[in-house]
Amino acid sequence: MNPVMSRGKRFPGWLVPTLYIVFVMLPIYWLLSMSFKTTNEILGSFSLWPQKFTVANYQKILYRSHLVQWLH
Amino acid sequence: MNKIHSRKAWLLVIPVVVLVAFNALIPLMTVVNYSVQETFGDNVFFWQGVTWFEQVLRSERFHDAFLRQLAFTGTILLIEVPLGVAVALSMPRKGPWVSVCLVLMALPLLIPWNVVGAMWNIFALPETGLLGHSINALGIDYNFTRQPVAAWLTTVLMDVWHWTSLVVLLAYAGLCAIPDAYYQAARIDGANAWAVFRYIQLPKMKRVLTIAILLRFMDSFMIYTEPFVLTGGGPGNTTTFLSIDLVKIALGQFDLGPAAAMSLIYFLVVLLLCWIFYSVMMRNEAQ
Repeated sequence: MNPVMSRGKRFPGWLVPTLYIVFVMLPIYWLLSMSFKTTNEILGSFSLWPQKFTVANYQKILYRSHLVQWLH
Repeated sequence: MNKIHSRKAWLLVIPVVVLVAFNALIPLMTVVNYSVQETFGDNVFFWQGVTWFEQVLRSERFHDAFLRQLAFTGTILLIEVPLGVAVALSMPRKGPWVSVCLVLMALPLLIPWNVVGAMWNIFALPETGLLGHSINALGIDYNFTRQPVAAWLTTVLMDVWHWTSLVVLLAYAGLCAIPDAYYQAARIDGANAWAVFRYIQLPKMKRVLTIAILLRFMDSFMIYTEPFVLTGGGPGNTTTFLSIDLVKIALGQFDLGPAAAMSLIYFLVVLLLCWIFYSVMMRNEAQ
């Protein structure tokens, strides 16, 4: 076995990758949660998750860019 | 048996020569052209010699941008390389968690540069962004659009977020290539974790780490999009790195001569530093 793992007695080895993954995921979570917020909520207040869940942003992007028209 | 020498083999090289000429040499020569001449448009050029080079090398603005660039590259290398190695060392070697870790960690590498900049901008907004709001909630005054230190820290953190995973993946690949026999021998000798790291893992990871440092050095030395989107080079000039400054001179002020001279100096500096770094690493390897 890998000797670095044996340090786990003093210090849990899974902690470092876990903390790192949390750090990696935080901005991605923020981007995702913001994509479901209304513009007012994004600019006006601080909320950890969308208070008024909306997919209007996605509709806007898909229709305004004519992506959906192209797909037809 | 006599070897037959045929010069016709050179014909086979022609496609490569043409390709390299079109995508590297000819554009480079255009820059060289601009760097020694002055133009007022209409394709009229006046010979200037090394005036632009002198001007750039003497300008305070270039010195400042250069020092800022060195400080930034040094900082991110000092954080990303040890952090990447530490994460790679403590990652599982077998089992289902390996792929989960690898996929989640590789996510930032898949995100386009401008999205990373925009994402960190909204993530770090002092009142409504998660990072900015949390720091301010702790009682620390933080506003990356106004405070140079905050802007600098946010830029460094963004680069660490974006690129540490590359170091992790490379270091992890290096670690996985070490045969179990080395660890067994170390255990028989009663080596502790530090000795195993210093005399087995680090020497075995050396080649991949050389590549990782070289890649991170070149990439961070030429960084443009992320800080441009995050801070736009500000507040003031505090996060104006070399490439941002270059674009300001070339497209903002339209000083094509000095910009061309600066890009050549920039190119030579990157080339020189890479060459020094690579030959030092390879000489150590030979010993």
